[in-house]
Amino acid sequence: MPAENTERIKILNSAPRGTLDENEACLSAVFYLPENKDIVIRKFETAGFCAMAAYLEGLTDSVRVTESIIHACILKDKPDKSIPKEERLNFLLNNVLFAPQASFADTFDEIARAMVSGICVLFAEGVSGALLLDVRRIPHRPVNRTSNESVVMGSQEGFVESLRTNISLIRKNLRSASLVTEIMEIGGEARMTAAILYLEGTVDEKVLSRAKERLKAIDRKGFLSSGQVQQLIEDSPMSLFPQMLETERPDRAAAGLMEGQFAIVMDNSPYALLAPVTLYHFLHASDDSFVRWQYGTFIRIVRMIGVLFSLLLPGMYIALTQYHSHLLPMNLLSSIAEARANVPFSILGEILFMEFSFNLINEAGTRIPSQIGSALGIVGALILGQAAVSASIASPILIIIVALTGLGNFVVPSYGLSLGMQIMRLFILLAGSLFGLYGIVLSAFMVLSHAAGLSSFGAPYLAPIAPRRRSNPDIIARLPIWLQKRKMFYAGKE
Amino acid sequence: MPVRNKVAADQKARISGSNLIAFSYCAVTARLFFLIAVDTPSSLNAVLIQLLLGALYSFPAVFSSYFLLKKYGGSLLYGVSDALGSGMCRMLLFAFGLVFLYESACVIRMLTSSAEYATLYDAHSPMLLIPTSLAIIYTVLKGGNGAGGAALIFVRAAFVLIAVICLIEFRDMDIKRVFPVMGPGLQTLHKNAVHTVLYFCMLPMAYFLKEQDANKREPKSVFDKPCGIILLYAACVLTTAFLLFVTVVSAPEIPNLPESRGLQMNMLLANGRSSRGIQLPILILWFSGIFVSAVFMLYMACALVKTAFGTDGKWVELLFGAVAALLALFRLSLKEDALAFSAYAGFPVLFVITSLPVILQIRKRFGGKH
Repeated sequence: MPAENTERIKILNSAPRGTLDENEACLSAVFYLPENKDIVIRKFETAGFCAMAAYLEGLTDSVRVTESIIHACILKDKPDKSIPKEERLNFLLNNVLFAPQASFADTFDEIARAMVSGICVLFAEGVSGALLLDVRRIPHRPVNRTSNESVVMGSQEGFVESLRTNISLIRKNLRSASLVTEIMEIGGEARMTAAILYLEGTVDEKVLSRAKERLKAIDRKGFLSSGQVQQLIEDSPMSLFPQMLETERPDRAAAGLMEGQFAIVMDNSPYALLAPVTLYHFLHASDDSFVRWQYGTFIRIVRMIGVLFSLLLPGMYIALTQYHSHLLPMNLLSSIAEARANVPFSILGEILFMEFSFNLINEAGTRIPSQIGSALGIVGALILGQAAVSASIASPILIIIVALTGLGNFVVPSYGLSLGMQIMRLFILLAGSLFGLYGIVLSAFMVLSHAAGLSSFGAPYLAPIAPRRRSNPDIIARLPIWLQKRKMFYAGKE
Repeated sequence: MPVRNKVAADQKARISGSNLIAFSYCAVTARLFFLIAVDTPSSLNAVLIQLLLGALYSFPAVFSSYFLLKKYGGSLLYGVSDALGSGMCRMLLFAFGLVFLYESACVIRMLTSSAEYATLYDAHSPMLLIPTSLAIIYTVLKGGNGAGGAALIFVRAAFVLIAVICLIEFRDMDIKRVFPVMGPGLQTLHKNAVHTVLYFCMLPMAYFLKEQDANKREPKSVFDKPCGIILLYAACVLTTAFLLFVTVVSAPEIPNLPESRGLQMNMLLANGRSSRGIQLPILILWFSGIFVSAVFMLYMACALVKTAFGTDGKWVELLFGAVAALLALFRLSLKEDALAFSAYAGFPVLFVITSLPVILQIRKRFGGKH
């Protein structure tokens, strides 16, 4: 380890010195001054002694630093000899400063962490400590419409990249004194601020302590987003099924908290992670419960059929046409045969080509700048349309199959699950092409047993259906709201 | 490395009561239906009588299990251990495990033969053993909750498929086809009913595993009580009876050789008994039912042996899965052998389970533990 680094670590673990010059030197070593131009250090006099404010430009509100700290201190220019040296910071805090939140720091490590999160640090001559003043103004976009969880009816607000704003949005939706917000720093070198929110008395204590334990155990050095945290703390990270629900909707997060889930919100992530979850949570959308129960149930059944289409349709098509042609009506069979007469590829090759093209268009549509987005529609229509048929690359019925499969995939409200389903679909497709319906049954059971064996923070993934649990009847069908009296099975016992 | 792996073990996968009940219900019903509808065609249309006779023979075993469950607070394992002693109990569990192992080989054989017949005409069943065994071992490795959960979902879907089949077939059904019920004669019926005994006795054998976590489980359904075993037994009998009834009253086309197993398969799976519209749900039901049955047999074999020797780890599943596949591969589990095995193994199992309450009473009288 270079000597410079060793020295820096030593400083980080040490307490602030008694003189401002020494403290300035320490800050310079920690933040690599003078190369680093973000750090602002300002010395001034107040009440007969020298003080020094240090903060990161851009993350800290310069106006508030000027008005609430520097200006306020300078105004108090009359020397007061009755103040003992070690009480200088306390005196400023109680009599001079206008910061709403403040605390003391004992090491440079604490100081550095506070400064990088936008906190202004105040040193006083003769005091071996520092005062942390919350005058943050971290730039973030305003609360906006959700982009991935759109609904027809219901709230349109979505989370943003600011932890504080996100917590406020949840609190706005869930006005309960039992809502607890625990804030913690997670990660290794570049620690991130995360908050775990839960309703005291509703959440299962065991689940909650398990989650906290896992969060605290994260020691990853790199950047942490909510997606990475999810991968690090979920029960089965090797599974294709997500075991935490990512939502960008505060109303959904609030509803989850009321059902007994906990939420993890992080700085810089416009998503909240909800757990424990079951597979059915990923198939629910916010407006299911906003509309009348009959409509909600109908939409969910349509969605379930879409999921089945997405998973099984290509596999079933290949199994029926290759192995079970006697199960198809003669007219359909002959029209499939006619349509495929000029296609030079096997059915599997044809499906894989079309699936790949569809995924390519989908991915390109996500990445393409909006100004040239319209071009993609034309390309997509050419590949997945008449041109492919005319060129004898694909048969018309296959285009319908791929389109229905794609639509089925898009009705899944969870982006993570829909990606997982695309991979599972390939597995089922290959099994169907090798062993027909038999292969589909084998692969479907493997997927099903895998899902049934999963758990999300201890809650079985397919419960309350498998295993059966007494739970609120809001799973596939949505019973009338006045009949939904039971708690979810994963909620804590009061 | 994910944090989960660093944090102390969260929980150990256990099979929940609802999963085990669905698992055994589905597997035993599928196995009974296969045995009666396909493997013993000599019973002709008297399948219902054959079923009821078999159920009657095996009722003492179920009732004895009920008695033990009631006496030992829902723990069959404790009851048997108390009656026979720990060593004997271990031996018994091991023997039951081997019974299930052989049965799993039989069901794997059935599964590959069905696949060969209904789907993969040009494939050879030994080659089909590889994907079949892999899928079964994978499912068993997912533990009781994984395999049992899949079975529970299938049970729910099966009712929908059966309803679809009944609706489509409704106009072609004829209740007169159930009669005459005594066609093949009592001797044949008795002989065929004996084959069913082992499959009914599998329910008490499954209960050996159920009670292990009875104290820790949350749900308190009627199946958690001692009478649950009788209800489960009744559910298996009624469901099998219903399926057999539907099969019998559906349009039969039996040109010749009713004993031919191929013909029976044809009637069920291809263009014989069923019209084209219902073949898809029938095929799905057929493959799924037998698959669940195979998974159940292998799971039980592994779980009973693990319980007997207090072992843990995945090697038991891998070893037993390989042994079951080899038994099926070397044609040691063909129809005739399987029928003979069920006839010869069924009655000893019935005898052992039935005699346990008697042994307990004798121990009590002559100064045993109680």
